[in-house]
Amino acid sequence: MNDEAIRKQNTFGRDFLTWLCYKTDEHAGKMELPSGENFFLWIDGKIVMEDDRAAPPNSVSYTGDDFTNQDIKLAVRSGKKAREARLRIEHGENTWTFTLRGDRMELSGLKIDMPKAADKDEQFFGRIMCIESLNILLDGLYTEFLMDVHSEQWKEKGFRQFQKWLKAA
Amino acid sequence: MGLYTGSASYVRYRLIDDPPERVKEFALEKLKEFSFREIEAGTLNEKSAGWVSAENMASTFFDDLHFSKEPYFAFSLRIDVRRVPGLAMKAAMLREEIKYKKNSGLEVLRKKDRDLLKEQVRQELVKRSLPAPTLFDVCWNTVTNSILFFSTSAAANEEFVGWFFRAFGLKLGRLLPYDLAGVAAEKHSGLEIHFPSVSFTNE
Repeated sequence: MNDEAIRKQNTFGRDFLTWLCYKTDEHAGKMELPSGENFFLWIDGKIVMEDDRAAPPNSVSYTGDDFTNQDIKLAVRSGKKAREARLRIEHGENTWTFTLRGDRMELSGLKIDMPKAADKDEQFFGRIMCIESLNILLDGLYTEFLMDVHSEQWKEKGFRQFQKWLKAA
Repeated sequence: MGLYTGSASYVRYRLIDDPPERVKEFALEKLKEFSFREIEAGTLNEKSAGWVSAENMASTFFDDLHFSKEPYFAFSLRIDVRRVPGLAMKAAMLREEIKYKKNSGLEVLRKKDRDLLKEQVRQELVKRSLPAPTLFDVCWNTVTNSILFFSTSAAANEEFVGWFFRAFGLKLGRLLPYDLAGVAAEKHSGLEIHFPSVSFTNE
């Protein structure tokens, strides 16, 4: 596989979303970054799990309030990874809800709740700050994910802990 | 849309090429040069693309620095396309075929004549159809040289990358998970990225 194929076809984005499902369940939504940032993250009523090793890909979609972490675990056990998920992040006074698509790290349907701005500039800076803050949090989480699953400790410890979570009722 | 109102959907890019030092003046010149121009009624132009103000899609005059909001540049890509609905094309073609057969006395049209007639009908309909505008916000952070394009549509992103290069002469790279991993590895010397991707099961 050449560099461009690796760039476009790797599953880092799906691995990241799957890892987020694990972390948020393990810590009851509470996330902490090495920078000291604390916030809450949940899967917000929608997730698509897919195993793309088969043709056509084998996928399952959960929406609404009727699915649990056990459904996600069952999908992971059968070889699926999270392709996209609707996430909710609460950080201080900010709340973001949006859909993250793992394959291309696309973010859609981001709701930005802001008080009515006095002018266009206030509106612009309020919204772009909100977006930039979210990108910083997501980048921090992504780095955490890489540090975790691409470390030597993952093989020795992390993977076993993940399996324990996967098997837990 | 999304930068000023409504819910936001966006794709992250970074500048691969370095912009000129006097980036504000450079951007003003290029935004003006590649600003949006309306498709004139009665012409055969089917598409027009260009930059407009992010605050007002009808404002195509970049004669001041209203797009500059330190350290950001905010503007929009407007693409107007004239499309002839398939059914309208079919109806007009049937009507013209009847007329052509009556005038020429022919019962069956030759393929060459039919193709010529079809193109004439299409051009007539294009001239009469109204352009449908689409608008995509762009936000360029001039400190980090990262750019947000407010659409996740593959076609719109392709148009944007091409138009951005045409206007500014600067290449954009989309930040895919692989690229974000590279950015993280640059910041954290202890981070080594392994391939292939992670397996979460014992397979």
